[in-house]
Order: sequence, then C-alpha cells, then structure tokens
Amino acid sequence: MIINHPLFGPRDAAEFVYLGDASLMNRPDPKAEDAIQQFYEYMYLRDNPAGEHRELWFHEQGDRSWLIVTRNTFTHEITKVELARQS
Amino acid sequence: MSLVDNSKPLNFSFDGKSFKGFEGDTLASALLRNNVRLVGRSFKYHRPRGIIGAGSEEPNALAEIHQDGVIEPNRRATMIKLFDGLAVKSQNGSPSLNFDILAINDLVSPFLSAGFYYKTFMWPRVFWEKVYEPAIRRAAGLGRLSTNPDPDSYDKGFLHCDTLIIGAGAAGLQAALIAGRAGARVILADEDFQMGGRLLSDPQLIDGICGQGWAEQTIAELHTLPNVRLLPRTTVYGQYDHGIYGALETRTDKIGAPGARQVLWRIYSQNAILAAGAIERPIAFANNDRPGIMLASAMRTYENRFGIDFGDYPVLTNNNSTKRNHAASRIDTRDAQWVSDTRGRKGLNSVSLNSGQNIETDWLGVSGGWNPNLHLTCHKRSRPKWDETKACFVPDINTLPENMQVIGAANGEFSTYEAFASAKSACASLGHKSGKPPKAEDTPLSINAFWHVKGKKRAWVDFQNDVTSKDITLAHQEGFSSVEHVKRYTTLGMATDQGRTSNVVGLAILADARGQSIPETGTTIFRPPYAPVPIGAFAGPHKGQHFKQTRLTPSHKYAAEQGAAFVETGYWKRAQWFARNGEQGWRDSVDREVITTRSSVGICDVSTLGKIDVQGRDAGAFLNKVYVNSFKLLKPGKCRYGLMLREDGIAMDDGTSARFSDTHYVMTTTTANAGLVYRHLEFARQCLFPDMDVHLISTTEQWAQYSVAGPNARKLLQKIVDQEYDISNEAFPYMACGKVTVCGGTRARLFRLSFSGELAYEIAVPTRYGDALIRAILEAGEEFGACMYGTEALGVMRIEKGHAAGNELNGTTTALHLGLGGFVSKKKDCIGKVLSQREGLVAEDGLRLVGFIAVDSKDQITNGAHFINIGDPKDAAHDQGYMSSVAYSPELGHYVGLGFIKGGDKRKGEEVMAVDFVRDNHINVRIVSPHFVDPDGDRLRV
Amino acid sequence: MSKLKPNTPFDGYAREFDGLNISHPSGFEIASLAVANGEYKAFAKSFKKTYGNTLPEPGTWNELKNGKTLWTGQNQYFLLQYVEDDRLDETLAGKFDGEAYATLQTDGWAALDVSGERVHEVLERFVPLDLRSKEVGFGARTTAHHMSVIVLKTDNDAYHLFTPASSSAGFLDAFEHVIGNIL
Repeated sequence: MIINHPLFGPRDAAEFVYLGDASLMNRPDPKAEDAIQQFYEYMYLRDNPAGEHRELWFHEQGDRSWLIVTRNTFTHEITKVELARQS
Repeated sequence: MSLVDNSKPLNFSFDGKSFKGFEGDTLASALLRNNVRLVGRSFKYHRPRGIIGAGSEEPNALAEIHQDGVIEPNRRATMIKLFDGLAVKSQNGSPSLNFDILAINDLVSPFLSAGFYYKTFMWPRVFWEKVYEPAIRRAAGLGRLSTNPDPDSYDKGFLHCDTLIIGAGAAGLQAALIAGRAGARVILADEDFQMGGRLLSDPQLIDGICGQGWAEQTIAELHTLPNVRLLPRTTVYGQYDHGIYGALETRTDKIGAPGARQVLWRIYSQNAILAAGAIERPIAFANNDRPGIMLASAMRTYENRFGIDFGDYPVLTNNNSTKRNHAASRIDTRDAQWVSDTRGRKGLNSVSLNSGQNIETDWLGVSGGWNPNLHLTCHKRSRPKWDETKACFVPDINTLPENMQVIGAANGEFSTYEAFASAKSACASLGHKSGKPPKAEDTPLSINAFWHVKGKKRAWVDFQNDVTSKDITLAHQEGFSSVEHVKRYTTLGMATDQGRTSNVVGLAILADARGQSIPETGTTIFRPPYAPVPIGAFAGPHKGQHFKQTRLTPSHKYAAEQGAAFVETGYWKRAQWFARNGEQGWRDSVDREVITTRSSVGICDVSTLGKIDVQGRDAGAFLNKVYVNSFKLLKPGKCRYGLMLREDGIAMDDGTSARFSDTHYVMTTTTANAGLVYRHLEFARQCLFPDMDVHLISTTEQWAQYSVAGPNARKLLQKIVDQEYDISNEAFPYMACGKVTVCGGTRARLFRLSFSGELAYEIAVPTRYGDALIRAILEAGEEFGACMYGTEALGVMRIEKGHAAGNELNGTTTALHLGLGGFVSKKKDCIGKVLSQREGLVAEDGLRLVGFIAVDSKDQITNGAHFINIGDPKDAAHDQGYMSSVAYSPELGHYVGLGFIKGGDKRKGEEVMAVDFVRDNHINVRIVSPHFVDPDGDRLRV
Repeated sequence: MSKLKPNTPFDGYAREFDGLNISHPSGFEIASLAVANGEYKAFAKSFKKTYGNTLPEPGTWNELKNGKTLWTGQNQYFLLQYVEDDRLDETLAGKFDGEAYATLQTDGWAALDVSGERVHEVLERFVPLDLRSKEVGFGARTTAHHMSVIVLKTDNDAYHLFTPASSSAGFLDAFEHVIGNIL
C-alpha cells in the first residue's frame, strides 16, 4: 500500500502505523452532562463501511505527522490524504 | 537453431548416475538429451512420469537438489539452469524411481478416487494415530527436507519504474523497445534466464531475420538504454495495491554459493504491461500420462532452442499451432481423429487411435489449445471471460486493474504480428509513439474445442495431484458440483503448478457433466503468488541475529567486560545480573546486588527508559492533559511521578517528568512503552490539542542515564559531580533536578529519583560520554564497595518498595486498582479521566493492589497464583484476584509479592489461599501493605 | 579539562569496495529546532541571518555556513553544524529565544558517508525510496530493513546516512551484509 503524503509524495505504508477511524479526532467535551455516554460512543462505536473510510495513520518512520487518509475499504483506492494538523 | 553452447560441457548427476549437459541447458533439456524419460513418480498412484513441458507450468518433473547435506525439494527440472556439479534426486519413488513399491496404489486406484480420504481410514479408531497417520505421512508428499539449516543468503530490495513489463517474448520485448527508446523508465522481467519467449522455440522470420536473431538484437539494444532494467530469471508473482508488485529473482540454483541466491523485489510502477504469453494445455485420454507424452510446444522448444532430436513422432492436436512441429503424422481432432489408448509402463512405446490404427513411437506431442497467462490480472479480483472462438479464457478489459494493459498471447492475440501490434497500441496509450510493427507471421488460431476422450480407462487431467476425468465426474455425481467444490474435493489445480495445464480442461469436463457451457460453469480465480516463493526469500536478510534490530545501551561494552548476563527487553539488550566468581546461580548474584545497593551503593544503566523532550509555552498544560496529576505548576528544578491513562481509563504508562524551565520538561516513560507513548503524545498534540504551543522529540538515544542508589550514593556522586554544584540534601532535596557538570566540565543532568527506595539519583550525560562515565563512577565507587546491578535486582528492589511496573500496568488496571485513585486530580480533565469513572471500574469491591507474604515464611510465593478465600472451592467462580509480581527479599529473608485482590485495601491482615495449578503450589498468604522495605520512605529523604 | 573521553559508533570506520566507499564523518553537532507557534516568519528571518540560507522545504536539505539543515517535520528542522559544542542546544536556545525550541540530537544518531558508482545498487536493497531519481538536495527519514535511517543526497552518487545510535552496530552489519551479496 502506498500513502501519498501531502508534503512530500508517495511513501510505502510500511513507514506508517494505523490507529483507526478519523472520528477519533473528535474528542467529546469532558464537561458535558452526558460525557460518559459520549466518550463511550467515541471509544467503542464505529461505522464499518464497505466503501469510503476516513482513517488515521501515523508516519512513525518518516516525519511523525498524523494523516487523515480517505481510503475505500473495498477497492483499497486512496482518494485523499490530509494532514491532521496544518501548521 | 540450438542456443545451447556445445563448447561448454557441464557435469551433473541424476539419482546418482553421471551425465553431461551444456551451458544453456535446463536440467530437463539435459535429461532429455541423455534419453532419460522417467523422472518421477506421481503423487497418489506412483505412476512413472516424464517431462511434459518446458517452462514453469511443468507438473511432473519435480526433483530435489542435493548439496553438502542440504536438500531443496520440489524444484521443476524445467526451471533449473544446469551448472557444473549439479546433483539431483527424483522424488516420490520408494525405494527408487525404477522400482517403486507404492505403485501398488495404482492397482487399488478405485479405492483412491476423489475424496477417498473422506470415506476411508475411519475404522478402527485406534488405528488413526498408530497406523493410518504414519503410513499416510510416509506415502504422502513429494520432496523431502534435510532439516539442515539453509546455508543460503536471500535479499530483499525496492525498484521503481514508469512501466513494468511482465514477460519478454515478442510482445514484451517490442513494448520494452518502444517505451525504452521513448525514454521511459522500464523494467522488463521474464521468468526464464534467456529472454525471448516463444521466439526462441518457434522458427519464424521477423523483418526478414530469424526470431531468435530478432530477440537477440532487441535485447542487445535494450542493454544499451540506461533507463531500461532487464531482470531475467525474475518471476513477477503478485500484483498488490497502488502499483506495487512482488517479484522473485533467482541468481543461482547452486546451494551455498556466495551472494544472495534469490532477491525478493518490491517493484513500484505507475503502469504495467502484462505480456506473459500463453500456456499450452493437453487433452485428456486413456493413459495420457506416460513418460514421452509431452506438450507439442514443449517439443518444439526442446528441438529448436535446445537442439534435441526426437526423430519422427506423431502429434495429437485440436488446433493449428502444431504446424511448426516436425511431426511425422498429425492426429487432428478437427478431422475426427484422436488417441484412444497408449502403452509402455516406464515409457511410451505405442499409441492407438480411434480408427484402430496403432503407431509405434517413443514420443507423442499433444496440443489441446492455449490458455492466456492472465494470472496477474486476477490478483485485484478481475474475472476472466470465456472466448468461444479461441476456446480459452481471456482478460476482461472492463475489470482489468487500473494501469494494467495486457498484450500478445496473454490477451488471446496468438500471432506474432498481433503481439507486435498490441505492444504498439499499449505503448501509444502511455504516450510512447512508434512506427509500423515489424513484419511477422499473422495466422489466427484455428481450434475446435476438444477436451477429453470419454472411455472406461483413466484419463489424467491434473498430473501433479493425480486427478483424472473420472474424479471430476464422480465429484459432480456426489453433489460437489460447483467449480469451487470440485476443486477442493478432487484437489484439481491445488498442487504447486496451480492447475496451469489442468484447470481449463477440468472445467470443461465439469461443464460437460453438468450439461452447461463453460461460462455458465464459472472459473476459479488466482491469488498471489503466481509461482512458489520460498519462505527464505520472504524473510530475506532478516534471519538469525538480523531477524530484528538489537539496541545496545551506553554501558554495554563495560557490562560485557564485567561478565553480565543479558536479557532482551524488546529490542534492547539489558544487563540482567553481573555474576562474580564463586556465585552459583543467578540468585547469588541478584541477592548480592540488592544487599550491596541497600547497604552501600549500586549503579544501574537506565538509559533504555524512554525520554521525551517536551518544550513550548503550553508544555505544562499539555502534560496536564496526558497525566492524571498536575504538572503545569511544577516548579523548574523539580521532578514529579506521573501516571498516564488510555482514553478508556486504563493505565497506560508511568514515569517521571522533570521541569528545567518554564517551557522545558523532560518526560520519562517505561522502556517497553517508549514508542507507544511517543505516538500517543503526538496524537494528542496534533489531533486533540492542535492549538497548543508544544513540541516533542525523543531523546532516549541522546542521553546515557545511570541510577546511583544506596546510603553512599551522595558520597559517591560528590566525587563525580564537579565541586561548584551543591548536591547536599538541603540544596538538592528528594525529587530535585538540575543541570550540572561532571568529571571536570562535562555537561550532565542530575535527577534525585528513586525506584529502589534508597537515597538515589539518576545522572545523565550525552551518550558519547556514557562509556567513560560508567567507568569513572565505578572507579569512584570502589572505596564504597560499589557494584553494578542489573534488571533483576532493579526488579527485586521495586517490588520490595511496592512500586507498580509493567506487571501491574498490564492493560486491565486503572489508577484506582493500582492504589493511585487519590492521585488523579479532581480539578482537571485528562485523557482517560471520564471513562475511568465507569461503573464497572469504580466498584467498591474491585481489585486493589496490595502486598502478600506467605503465612509460613519458608514457603515460596509464585507469580500468577490466583487468590481464593479460605474454604472456597479452587475454581474460577471463586477467583478473588491474582499475584502480579514476586521477589525474594534479601533484607527480609523471605518472599514478598504484589497482587490484585477484590477490596484488598480493606482486607489488610486477612489470610487467603494463593492457588497455583501451573506449578502445583497452593499456599496460604496474608494481605499486607505493598511497601515492605522502609515503608515510611525515610531513606529517600536523607 | 573533562576527564571523560567521548566515543561514538563508527569511530574511524572507513572501507573501500569496488565502486563503493564508506566513511564515518565527524566533527559536527546536530540539534533539532522546533518553531514556536506563530513564530515561523520571525524564526525564518533569524535563521537566514545567522546561517546564510533559507529553511528547507519538506523532503529537502539546504547548505549552510558551516553545515546543513534538514526538514524533519512540520515546523521542525535538524541543524548540523561543524562546531565543537556539546551544548549546541543551549547556544541555540539563547539565539532563537521565543522563536524556536532546541534539543541536542548528535549522540542519538550514528553517521555514515556512502558514495561510488554502485551506491544505488546497494541502497536499493536497503531503502524503499526511489533514490536514483531524486535530485541532490533530497533529504528524508525512512526505513532501512527494520531500522530507521535519515538519507541526504549530497551528490549524484553520494549520501549522508544517519541511523539511531543504539542499533547502529546492527545497521552497519546489515549494510555490509548487503554489500557482500553484491560486490
């Protein structure tokens, strides 16, 4: 698998570590009334699409950036790669 | 004309007998030249078998290469390039190829038909392991292993190109020429050691010169182009995602030769052109498996490329590709002729035709048509489609993998001119223009779909797995009618040749039995690898000490000189203990190291613990988010213990963070979790709190760090730390940190931290000084009887103090379980805080970390024992918890343990059973405080 | 004068093969510089004033007065300087106070220089990047077998390689093993 890093181009997936669904970026508000319920859903409930999936990859053997990769879980095609944090 | 070099003879042996071949021969061609027709015994029936093909589709001629006690089994004779001294043994003949007792299987064949193992070997039950299994194991399988270590070296590598061309026959060579001349970066791979494909074997004229000559001059030109890389003897075995291909290059067949024997290449290519040609298929008829019956195209290869003379021989054919054979007679199914039987057990001697005619012959060529080699198009799930006129599967252009084009015979374009024309158009679509294709023959394939001769006698379809046409119809009769079921029930196409010569014939027979067309019956598709790849090639250089990286500590050289025993902690090698003369076992050494440290001073290398530099205006606020306790208000010049949770509330790691300035902290982590914590922190920094001004970098490798612990620790360090730095208790109290210099001006960092519970410090210098510093410290420590201590003593001391470590932070425990519930700040959020409050995690009677001692102090406590209340049955339903860490305490003179037990914090003094079924050791233990040595912590603060 | 003598992995290492030269470069320090939020412009200006060149783009390194600088991540750079200063991080912290944060990295990395007409034949068995097609000035961190490596292309057939110090013995061993298979 190849991930096209937005800053310097394609790299072998072996340089990266996978974390999971990009929804992990949306950490709930710990002060919310139903915080426990929100955090439970944040940690454990996932859509499992056969199709486009936004997911988080860490470029551990490269520039240490976190990337959001839009990948089709069925065809494996990667259509978008974004930096999780734009500098 | 023959491409073999008669001026370079080579010696080889087959089953102990010596023969001669030539440079350019394969083992198969050399055997045929020496009139060796019998080369193996078939898998199930042990029937005598000979060479059928000339390439990687060969199903019969599997042999073992022997060299210096090493055996490489299941090598196709057609794919071994002959070298001087090659020693080969045939397979599956017991005791020998010529005299095979297990040929008796052939006589009992009615009992060995498809799926026989589902219907036999059932009774009596006691025979399963004692009789049937050993007998089947002896009879089954083909080659043998020597079980000696593989002496060969393998490598892996990475190649990049614009266009990967798979197959160097007419189509592939022409495509490489066009793309190469256009300046594209081209890799041209072919599984043969000689490129040219069928141009080497089928005499023809291309632009007026012979096919072999055209191939030679094309290859010569390709060699001159710096942007073209030729990879002969390289099988592209798989297509993966995003333009990644796997290829296996074989450098030599010689075992134990210098250099890598095989190289596994990962090829990254924008585009691919599949020009892998087509494989001829046989026709199934009675006794069609005798040595001497070969594919007609293979006979042409042996005649024209290898210069072997078969004399006059008949050819059975259903198509016009056999026009080029030197056939004495043609048995053409298009004229309603076919072969009805053959004779000659150890080698063909005659065939009979349906007309009643008998022909005496040692050789018979067979051609049942051609199968485009479209394996690679299926790896990304494209399904081939059936072409009725050509009687074969062709690639489906609508579902081809992106950026792959198929040309030539692989695309069902069987004439040489068509191959050139499709190379031209494929290259044109990549932007590489070219002139008219070379002049070449342009005869279309003319074929009638004739698959098998029906009859009473067995007709072979899959030669390697010994599957006959009867097996296929039997499978259908028994209800295993779908193509996937037939495959698995009969094992058709499941051998190492993956059905190259048998799949389509088998499918046609099945379609016949079902009364359906071939497209209606379906097909199985292909997965990587195209051809067998040795596990050694996948491992590449990563075996033995190169299997994983080894990380050495700054004091490693010194520790090795001191005779340390080393333990692997992840990738690190850490000193476990330092044995001295006279010490009998590890306990002697470890007890001594603990006693020395607690009574005087000991030194331990703690460089392996993760060190992360945290800098920024919001560094403190960031640490507040990742630790359960507060760090934002920590004063510069101080350290603090910190506990980190996962977002689900479970304890992830612990360590200390030291503050050097308003914007500068240094965090430590455990050795094992350094990488994990770094990843976690970067996730928090980039994804959760991107607006904070905080920056991270690992400094684990940058600093050599040593723990100096014991009552004499300060005295020792005062000889190391330069005089201008006051490290008295008043100036440098417990949990202080600071920048100092040592040994006359070398920069260093000093931390007053204690894992052992003694008066202790950690001293860090840039790693370049690590070796010199450890020697200086031990020299300065001589007057105190200082010693190095290893990970075992480190472990004993932290257990004696009740410090949680990896055994306790085991991925199931929370701060509350660890007895650190009060440590979690109520005033701020942190990662994990919310979910750590979940009902199940905060139960009053949940597990709590406490200490354990044996009621009878002579008893040995064992780690992993489970706690059962006295009187309860010893079973899972009554499980109260488990022991997580155990050590023998030299100070106390007995074993001490740490463990988790329900409601443990309220049960101090209570006795329970520690039940250990693994070691059969059940004893009574008492619940006590986990702080065994110096429970008030006085030693820390002197 | 400090009594502690420094030593580094690859000290004095130098080997010549047919078409490949390997040596151990020395006499420099490496520090990491992380740009403070919102201070990029200011830092870039200070940097150029001090070192005579701009900060490099992703995937590249720049030549400097007395050294080099490599892009290592968003707002993060390695600075290599031919100085004798094992407190380079403190020197830089003073120089770029408020603009960037400095961390010493010299001891964390073992360095090798490799060059020669067969350098790509060896590196293609080691590193997954398409080094042949890169220009001089390319610089990146990637994998080398199971280990990490930073690669700087300094000439058509020449590279600086940096690998983490603790596993450097294994790195050199693996590298020599690959050379042995080819040359």
